[in-house]
Amino acid sequence: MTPKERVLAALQHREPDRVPFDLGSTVDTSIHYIGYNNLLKHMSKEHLIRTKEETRFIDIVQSVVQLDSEIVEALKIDVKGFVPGSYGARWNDVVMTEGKEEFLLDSFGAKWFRPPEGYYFDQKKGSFPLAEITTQAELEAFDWPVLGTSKRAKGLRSIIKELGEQYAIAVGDPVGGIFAQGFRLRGYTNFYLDLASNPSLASSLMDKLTDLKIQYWDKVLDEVGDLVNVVVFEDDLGQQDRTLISPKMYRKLVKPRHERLFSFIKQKTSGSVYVLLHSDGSIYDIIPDLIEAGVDILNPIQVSCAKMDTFVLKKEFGNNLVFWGGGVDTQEVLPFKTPNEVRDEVKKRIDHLAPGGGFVFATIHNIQPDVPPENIVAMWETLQEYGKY
Amino acid sequence: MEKLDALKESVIEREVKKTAGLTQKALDKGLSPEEILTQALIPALRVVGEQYERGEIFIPEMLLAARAVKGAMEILKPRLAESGVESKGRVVIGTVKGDLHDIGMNLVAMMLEGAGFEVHNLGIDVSVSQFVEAAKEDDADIVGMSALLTTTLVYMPQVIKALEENRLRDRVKAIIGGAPVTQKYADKIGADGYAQDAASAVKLVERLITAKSEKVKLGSM
Repeated sequence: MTPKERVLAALQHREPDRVPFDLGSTVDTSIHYIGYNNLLKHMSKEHLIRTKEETRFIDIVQSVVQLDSEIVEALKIDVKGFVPGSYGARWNDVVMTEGKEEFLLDSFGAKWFRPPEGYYFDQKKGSFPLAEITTQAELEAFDWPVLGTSKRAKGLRSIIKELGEQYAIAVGDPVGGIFAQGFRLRGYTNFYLDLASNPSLASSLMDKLTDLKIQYWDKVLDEVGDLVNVVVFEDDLGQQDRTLISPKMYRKLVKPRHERLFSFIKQKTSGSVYVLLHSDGSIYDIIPDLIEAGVDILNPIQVSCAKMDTFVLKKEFGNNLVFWGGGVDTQEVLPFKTPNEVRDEVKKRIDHLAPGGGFVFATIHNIQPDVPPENIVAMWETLQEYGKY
Repeated sequence: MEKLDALKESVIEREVKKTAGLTQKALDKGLSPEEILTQALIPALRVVGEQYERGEIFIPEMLLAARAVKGAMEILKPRLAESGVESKGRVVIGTVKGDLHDIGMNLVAMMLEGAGFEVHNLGIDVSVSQFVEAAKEDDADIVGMSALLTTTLVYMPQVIKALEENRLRDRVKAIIGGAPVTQKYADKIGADGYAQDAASAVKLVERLITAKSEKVKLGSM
């Protein structure tokens, strides 16, 4: 089976020859550049070790890399991913300095800072572009970015076509979520308060973001829609112990926007493309709603959160959802336990998620700098030995 | 007291304007700011905290209730200062160095203020020495540290150590919170407590302050 055939079988809920593997195809299934360098050293691939200035990133905010083809082959990865407009981004093209801190600007002109001893970029007070607005008019008056330009996907078609002969293709967009982005534009406290006490403003904001995303995908899918297998959406809906907002609020304020967005994608590609939603946290209580809204694939399956047990999720939702992730707990096991404990954990997750297809193995979110390479190798070896159908 | 019942209700119902209005009315009727705080606002916020702990409400609702109390506190504060009412305790709180996440921490700060504590919110990316300086200057009872990233947790034991080195540890309790934080980790680093959300953080602080004042009482016997 080719990697592409393997992944497609899994997405169609058939059992391929072995469990497909994703590392590096999305901004949330990759590895931090420091962790990558550690792994390369461990694999005796020192010639690929790079400084952050030399690294090719799939997402600089989280500082996660685009893997070298040599590693994709060595690790038998089955998916290749792209974010048009920031494919292979370089540190010095994007990162600027202000005093002792580094920062970058996102698509909305918000500054994301990296503190001197930090590993990633985050927003802080003063970097929320819509923090001060209170009215619809002010919302409209904002200098909204134009995301839907043909420039974005230019040149990507030939790369995707070639790689798509062999690999499954996942494509993402440069704007996180329509719900999550609300926080990033209004500020966390403000958006929570909007949702609770000014729902029409929150709804208008999310509608605007949905429009922007549709504009983007309209252009990108015009260019490469026939070559893409998975469209990747990021929209965090859960915290450690529950959803970020009540399921009732989700259904009322967010779900209609998700439905509009996901059905656009399916309609534009005549249903040939699978919709992947990345959401951290405990989201069990709204999984049926996500399925209804059009989600085909769920990522990363944060097993350390409440009600996110892989056995239960597979049993209850395995017919309707593909699990892309869930391969190994990353809050405790992968970073802090022994290689043997990692092996046991991986076997357990494969036991739970593999039967009947519908499973693409990935770590639960990006591999962090403090993960011992021995553990990554133990995870990978177990997948090879144990992940056969 | 009817007026205070209505005020209590308006917090629980998360009515920001009504809460401010009823607070002002209560003051105008001659009720003391302390009464308003202890008979209405604090019990109301406790109910809200319990609703959250039971999973009946979520963050947006809890924040809105806290916002209602914040509005009431803005009206009461100058009057509380006038009448020389002492806070229940002084808390220094912040997100540790290298970490910029603050929504959870801010919610804890709000709930603690609403519960009658004096809170000095240091914000984000707070160095070890900033925590210690603030604890000294404020004569704090509690230092609360928040972290969202496993990579920045390491600063928590450093703050505790610095409090020891500055001979503050017997007076200042150290508590921690944040998504990657656990009770186990709190025990490991010698923290005095861990809370998994804002509602239980308030209970933790109340427990530690009570224990502290009991200790003082026994000590002076």
